[in-house]
Amino acid sequence: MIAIYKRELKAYFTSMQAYIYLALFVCITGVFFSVANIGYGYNDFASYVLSNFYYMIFIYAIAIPILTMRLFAEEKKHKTDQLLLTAPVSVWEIVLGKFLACATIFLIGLAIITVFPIIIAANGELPIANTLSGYIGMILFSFSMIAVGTLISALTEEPVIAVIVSAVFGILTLFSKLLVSLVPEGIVPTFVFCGIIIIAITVLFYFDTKKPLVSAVAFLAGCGITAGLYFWKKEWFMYGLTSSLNWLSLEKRYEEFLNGIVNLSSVVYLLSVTAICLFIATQVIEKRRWR
Amino acid sequence: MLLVEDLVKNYGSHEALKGISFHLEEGQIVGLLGQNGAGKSTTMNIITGYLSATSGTVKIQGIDLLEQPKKAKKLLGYLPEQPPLYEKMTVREYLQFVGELKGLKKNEAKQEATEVMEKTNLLEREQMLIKHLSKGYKQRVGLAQALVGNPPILILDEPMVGLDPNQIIEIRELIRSLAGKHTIMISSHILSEIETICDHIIILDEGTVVAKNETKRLELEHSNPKQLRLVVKGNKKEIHKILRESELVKRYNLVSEVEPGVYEFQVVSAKEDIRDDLFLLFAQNQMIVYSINVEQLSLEEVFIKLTGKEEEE
Repeated sequence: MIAIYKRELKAYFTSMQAYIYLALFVCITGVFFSVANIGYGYNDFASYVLSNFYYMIFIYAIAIPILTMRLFAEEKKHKTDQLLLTAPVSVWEIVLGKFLACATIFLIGLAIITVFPIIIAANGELPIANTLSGYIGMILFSFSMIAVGTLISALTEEPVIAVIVSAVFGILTLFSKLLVSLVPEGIVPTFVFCGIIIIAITVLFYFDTKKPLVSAVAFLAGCGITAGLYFWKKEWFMYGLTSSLNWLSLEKRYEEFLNGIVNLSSVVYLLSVTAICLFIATQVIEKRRWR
Repeated sequence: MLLVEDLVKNYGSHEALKGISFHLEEGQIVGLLGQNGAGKSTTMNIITGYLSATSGTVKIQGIDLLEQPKKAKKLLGYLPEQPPLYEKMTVREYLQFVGELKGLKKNEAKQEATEVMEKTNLLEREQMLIKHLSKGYKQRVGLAQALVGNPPILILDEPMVGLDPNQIIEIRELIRSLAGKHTIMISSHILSEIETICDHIIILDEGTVVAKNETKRLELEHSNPKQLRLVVKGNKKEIHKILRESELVKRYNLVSEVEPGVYEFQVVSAKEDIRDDLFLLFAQNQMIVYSINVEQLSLEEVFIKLTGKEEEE
């Protein structure tokens, strides 16, 4: 795993990607810092820079997708995955090594921009707790986004497709609060929502197994579970939709940190998303061998 | 050394391998022959753990590849059809990375990289970026990569494809120099390429093993004892008469006049081995037989006979 981590980290620097990313990251953070903290004189770095919407779009919908796109897609394109998969290392070591390399680049950027809150602290009063929780939130949130990007990269052979899909995911995540507010509450919308999910899973199932009968069984099972739940817990279907979507929302969790709240369930949630995405990426790669 | 048992691989409904079995003894150089699409690369990809078989087992020095993949993979060096090179690394960096990937410590990997570069004559290019190397050199780096960690078994998938004749000779020499220290399996769809290096040959056709034996035996086994080459000195008309009237001969035809008064015939005999009788027959007629040979098929002809197709290249 260490060999893969080291190679991947080196590759970021030999391909200039790391330099360009770090330069842009520091520069853009600097712009927001200059405007909000120096220009307007706000002393709160987390709420005025880190949680700025445009700033988040840059990091999560542009920078991280570009950093993660080549992790696996390029290996497949150049067939170097044959080297990794026939070497005496397990797939999870490969996935973890790559994830950690990308995370390291992100952390280096984060370490550099710590200069800004230090400037504030030197010249005035920095709300330390708020800043710290903002940093923790940013680390956890970006880790889960890097894990998502890693997974998407493992799914495709084309880095370009990987970057686009990751960017779309990033934007959807950042807009999720707005999107959830558009979802109507009530029994019918909940059923429609469940229906869409069941159909999507069935279609995925079919493309994966190419067995119509199995897919049909999966579809009926999904419908059965939904109907069962409806009769068992009717109130879930009346009021549950938006609250469960909000519970799932990565952005909502992130926001708490930026407002100075370190909520244990959010920490666990973001870490779980990271772990689950990396686990699925491992399975995707493992499964390709059986085709 | 390497045991492959009843390997089956399906891609969807397509059966790529239909139950392949063979084993390699220590120190052998084995050629895996077959046309494009016969299942050579699939077989090699399964042996090295890149793909999983639908069913069947692969054992490397008695270690099951599925049960202990890490341990088994340590014993293998693999050069896939397209060498898995990171173009933006230098030769040394790349080989050192492969060493560390194979579990060597940093210093060991450094030393190992130097050693394999020596073996493959790459030392003068160690600081070059791989993307700037010629195809022949890239192939050599690929081979060097397989040699890192000194694995007892080497699996080489079409190591000579796309190289010019000089490079082919170089790589062939290189592989020959590795013989004895490693058990080697080489795949190819060009017979002449591996005929000279391999002492054993396995022929694959449409996912099944159609022949496996020592290279020489394979030629003999598929020869027809009823087909003879006869070289005889004498009067042409008289020879014709003897052959026509003899009960031993079913068919014959003149191939050429080897030298003045010496003729070569292709003879198909009516029963099993007639060489002794044929010799005596000509002796009785005061004619001298220079040679009688059972006609041997070349490996090329064996291959065509078994796969029922002409080679593509």
